Amino acid sequence: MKELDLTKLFKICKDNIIALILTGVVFAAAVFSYNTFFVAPTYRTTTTILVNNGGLADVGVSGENVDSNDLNASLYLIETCVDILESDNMYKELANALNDDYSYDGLQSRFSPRARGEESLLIDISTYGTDPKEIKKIANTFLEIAPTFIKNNILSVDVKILATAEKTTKVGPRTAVNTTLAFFAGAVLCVLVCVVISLFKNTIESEKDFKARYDIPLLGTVPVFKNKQPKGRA
Amino acid sequence: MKKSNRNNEYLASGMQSVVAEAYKSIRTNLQFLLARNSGCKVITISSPQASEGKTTNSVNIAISFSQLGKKVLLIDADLRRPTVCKKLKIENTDGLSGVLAAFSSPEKAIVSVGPNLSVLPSGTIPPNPSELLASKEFENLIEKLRESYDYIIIDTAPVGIISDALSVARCSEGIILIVKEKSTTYQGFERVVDGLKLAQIPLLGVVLNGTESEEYYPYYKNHYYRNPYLKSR
Repeated sequence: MKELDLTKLFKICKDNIIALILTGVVFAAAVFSYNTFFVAPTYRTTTTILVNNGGLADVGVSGENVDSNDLNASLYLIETCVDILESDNMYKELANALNDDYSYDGLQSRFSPRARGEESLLIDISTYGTDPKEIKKIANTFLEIAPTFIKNNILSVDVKILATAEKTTKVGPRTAVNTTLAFFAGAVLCVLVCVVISLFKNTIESEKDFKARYDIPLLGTVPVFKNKQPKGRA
Repeated sequence: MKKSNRNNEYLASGMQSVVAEAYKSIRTNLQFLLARNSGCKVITISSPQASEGKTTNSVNIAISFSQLGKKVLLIDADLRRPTVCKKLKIENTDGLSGVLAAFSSPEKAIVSVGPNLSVLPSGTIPPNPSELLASKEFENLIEKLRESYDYIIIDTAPVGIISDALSVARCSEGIILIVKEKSTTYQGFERVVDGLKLAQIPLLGVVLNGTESEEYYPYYKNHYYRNPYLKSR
């Protein structure tokens, strides 16, 4: 078995450039077709709630200033609230609110509550689905019951709804990205196959190969042409 | 000496094909290689395996030398699968095997195919080709033919398969190996070279057959790839 270096690898790619491109195109076409015709588009809508420990509820209203202890306590609460929003009971209530048209674990897999940032009191709740109207409906239903559910679990907490589900965004499939990745995957696969074949090749490949390998006079080379001969000629 | 009745188009002058140029280059290199040898030069041509273009190249090299005005004899010493006569479309009833077995004579068996080129066909396939080629009669025949020709090109069986070529090459200045691009294996070639060293037979050089060449075609696009037997336009 021969060794392989970068120049040989480059030569393999160059010699098989058409196969490389064709394989990439075939892979890309297959993935593009699959994404376009067989995969239903996925949409996302996002709702937002503001959570604090209750100490910030009256800031500005009753003339009180922001207390840093309340602020820190609120920040610590955020992850707990996210965990509450991810609990099974939350989605059992949601399924109940949706008249049991959905299973709770099915709903659970479609929601993704996340704190907006480490120092943010906002929780963004993303909802996914294939029907934009449907995901708006279930997202808004979730938003209706979420504040009460959180308060039932943390008595002193204050939850305000900041954004309801109004817009949806198509998030999948990522056809362009997948197609591009498929092209490169196909090309790389083709290169790997060509490399493996070349490593096991044991025939005299060319004049250059012969001269590099043997110190024997090469009297001449007799060519054949890749191109077809013109018609009507011998 | 018999004359072939065939109209030998491939011997016409004014060849312009790239393949013809390749053979001219091979011919020139051989002339330099054998320049120190005076008198008739006998060259054995073989290949590691079958179907690597050995006979085609033997015929074309012989034709190429004949076009220098040299008297050339092409001997088909492949007594197991002779193909020179098939390629040149001449009869193969009387030839080398008959001469070596004393059934015929060189004068009767040799066929003239052109002004400077003659062919000694293999003749009928004998039951004992190795013995005939290793015999004193073969050695004597070559010595006798040296007096009448400037070049004797001997086409033999693949040396990687049959050892007949080694017996033939002992009577010559050396052996040329025809190897085929993307077909001849490194191991097969190296085994043959080692065998030649062991038998102390000079390896004159190698001809690489079947090289892919696009760059020739655009340059020569007004000419065309010809029949390997060098038909004129």
